[in-house]
Amino acid sequence: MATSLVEEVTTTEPHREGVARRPVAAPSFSVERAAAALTVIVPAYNEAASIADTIRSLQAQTVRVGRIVVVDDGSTDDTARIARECGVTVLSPPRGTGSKAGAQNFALERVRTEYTMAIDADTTLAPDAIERLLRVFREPDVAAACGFVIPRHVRSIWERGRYIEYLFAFTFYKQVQDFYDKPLIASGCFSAYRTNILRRHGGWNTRTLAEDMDLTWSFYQSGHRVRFVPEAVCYPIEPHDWNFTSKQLKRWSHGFVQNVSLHWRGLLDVPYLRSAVAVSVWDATLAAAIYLMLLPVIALVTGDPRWLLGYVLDLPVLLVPVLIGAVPRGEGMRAIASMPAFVVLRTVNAIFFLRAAIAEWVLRRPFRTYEKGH
Amino acid sequence: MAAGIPGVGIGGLFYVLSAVAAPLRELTRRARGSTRDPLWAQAFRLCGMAVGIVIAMWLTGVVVGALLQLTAGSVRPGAGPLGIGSATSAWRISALALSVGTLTMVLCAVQVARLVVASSRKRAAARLERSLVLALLMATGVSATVTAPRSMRAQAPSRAVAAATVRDGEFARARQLQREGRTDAAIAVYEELVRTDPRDADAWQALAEVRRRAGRPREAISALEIAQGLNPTPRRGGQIDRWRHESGAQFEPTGGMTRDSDRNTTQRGGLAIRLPLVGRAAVTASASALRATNSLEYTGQSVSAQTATLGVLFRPRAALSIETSAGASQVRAASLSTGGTVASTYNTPVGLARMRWRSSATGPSVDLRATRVLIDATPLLVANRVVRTEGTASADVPLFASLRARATGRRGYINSADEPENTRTLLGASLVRRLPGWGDIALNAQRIRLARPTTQGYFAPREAQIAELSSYLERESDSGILLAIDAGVGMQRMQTFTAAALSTWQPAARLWTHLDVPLQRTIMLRAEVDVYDGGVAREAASAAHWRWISASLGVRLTP
Repeated sequence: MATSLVEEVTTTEPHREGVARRPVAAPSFSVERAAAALTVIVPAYNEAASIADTIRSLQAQTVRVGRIVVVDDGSTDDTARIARECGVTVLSPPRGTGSKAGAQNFALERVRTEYTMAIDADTTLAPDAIERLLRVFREPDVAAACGFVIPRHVRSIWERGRYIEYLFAFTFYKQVQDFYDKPLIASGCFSAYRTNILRRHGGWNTRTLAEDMDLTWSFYQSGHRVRFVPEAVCYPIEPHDWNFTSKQLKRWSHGFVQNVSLHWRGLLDVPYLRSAVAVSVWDATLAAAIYLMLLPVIALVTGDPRWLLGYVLDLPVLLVPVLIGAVPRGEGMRAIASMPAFVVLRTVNAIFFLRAAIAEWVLRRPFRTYEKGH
Repeated sequence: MAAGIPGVGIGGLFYVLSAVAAPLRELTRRARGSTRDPLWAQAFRLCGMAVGIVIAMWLTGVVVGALLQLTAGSVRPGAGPLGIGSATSAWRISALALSVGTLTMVLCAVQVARLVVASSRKRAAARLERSLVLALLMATGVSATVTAPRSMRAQAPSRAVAAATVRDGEFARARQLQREGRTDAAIAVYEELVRTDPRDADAWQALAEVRRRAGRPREAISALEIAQGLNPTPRRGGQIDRWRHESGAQFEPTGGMTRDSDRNTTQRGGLAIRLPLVGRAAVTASASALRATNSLEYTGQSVSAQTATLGVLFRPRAALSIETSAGASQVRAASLSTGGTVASTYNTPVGLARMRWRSSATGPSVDLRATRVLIDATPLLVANRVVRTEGTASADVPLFASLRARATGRRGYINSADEPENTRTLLGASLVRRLPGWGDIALNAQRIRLARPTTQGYFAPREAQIAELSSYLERESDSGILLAIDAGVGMQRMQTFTAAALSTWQPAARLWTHLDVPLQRTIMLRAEVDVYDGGVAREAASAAHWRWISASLGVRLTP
């Protein structure tokens, strides 16, 4: 036992604590080879209008994709025929699987390649998207990667609102999350996975309405990494009207709440993500309630309508990352013109998330019906 | 999907703060020797974006404030706070404070939830792990002998490359789990790796090391032996011998002596025994004898003491170890308090209870300890029956990069034959820089206070202050020889109960060395030398400058 000038502060027994190390073998990795070992799954339900564009964008990639599989999940239109004419494999489950996750799992059983990609049937890719996305699999502990999402059409108020939301989230939030190694979600509309790890996690689980979030959080809990690649850009068709928007928001909001209920214990072990999710839960519940009710109440009580300016006061702040994302694309004016739509969408978003939290956590009425809405 | 209300909630603040901290985070990664590609460009881009957001926020506040002041006259009197232009800055500040406070509250709530859930979950996991590990070990034995070699031969080259990539990924995942302190989960990953490829010596080695860290020494040794069988190396051979010494039944006879500048000399001899029990527990027993003399005051006289203790070591979880022991000391001495020397014998109970928690090799740790010891550094102390009962709490937390902070608090009660109880309070703090693969260096500061002076022979200033630069280094050779050095230099000052103020700073130094030399597979020679030169004594000092040296030699036998 040592006698210290400073008693017991310094260690007085040999530590002898080895940390398991292994020289990291770096098997040769090339994007071309990874692309050749990639199966792209395209789940489709009545996507005759968009499936050809999706397939063509896959076929026009700067790297040659190993296999493209369209899962025609009980479509009543010409989706399957159009896909076949484009020269890709079409799988048709004997019965409709009832969800995007179900269709993807049906195809996953038949995947024999090292990598698997999921892309929505209404989503097209930038020509170099797959090449850029696959690069991150050079790191052996990366289980999944996702790309930057930009709405293909920016016309209606809902599309414009989503356009700003995506520009803001993918330019700022998601890049911060990626820097801390914890993107909140590998978006289901365009993500790539290591097939063996995907299978080990049971593929896309249908226990929640946000199977992509479920999968991402499961990866983190088992120690895998997920990467966000902002240079890999995809262009989905976003809901253009209230009908589709409400279905999508309902699915997303309930999916988020369901995933928090399902994973909260496990997430507590995942640094950074636990804080990001906690902050999101706060924003989706109490902050949403305050946001929706507080300003109108104060305006009424004080008789000063200027309090309602609170709903738009942060727009200049939001504009910073939005313009950083939009200007290099030559879309600065479009972004500025779309900001009012974002205020509308944000308010609707808050209502949906608040409703979902109340339904799932307070009233115990889980929402399980998968309603297609892009 | 953005949950909630992007922009206005605390989420915005959270990500702005995260972005501002990005360069610091990258600095931490680099300092920790991360092998990943540097992310400086990304870090500064995010930080710049956050700064832009903050500037936009400030400008918005300025513009809104100006507009409100311009329109203040058009608002009817008493319309509310917004009508009062002078209050806008107060509103801005309070809004910011509210946001920061809310964010802090949410993040703290997460940490509290984490601690609560972790404690309940680990109890359940420990039960499950025991049965799972047993099943996995059985499966490992079967697959190692039957299944795996055939499947390995059947693999095509391309598939082998893919499998190697997957295995590297799994290794990385296991290391990540270790870094996060999830040792049991890391063990499960390594066990799966050795199950799928029983010929991977690296995987067996890694499994052995993480099992050892989890307090499962026997399983660790068996894994290490498999690794050695697959890929023999002298280093691993020495490691196996050392681990056997540490984990098996141990009998350690030790002898040593101390001498200080007050001419106090002690000779000690003893035997320590450690017998592993089933699971993660061990029984300890010790017996020691001491003879203390002072060549000035006690010419021709000496006091002696014998101490015997029995204890238990228990490591219920990877991160937690508990140690208890209890016994008694019997002292034969001459009492000095009655003006003459009267031979006497007395017994006093001694004991130790200690709990150590360490989340991971680099994570935070907590050490709680309660001790009752006979102070036996000098004949005077032994003769005066000086006994100290003390509680200690210390915590060690990582700051950033490889910097850590340590804090220690200690409260002791000193009882003796002829004086009322004295109290001793110690507060200390250290800033530690880890040196990966070597040890650490530290800046230490400490303050000691006692409640009253004493004539019983123990060191009792009103206050002592210590500042020290120290270094702990540890190296192990391929043949298993281990050398550890703990050295420190610093300054000390103190105030006695008769002095009006603290003394001037005086230099001080110390050196502790420990050497383990394996002689045979079952015998290890252990030697320690401890040297101290300073004014502040741990237990006894009569001169302003006190020097002390201790040396001990032992043999650890592992039958």
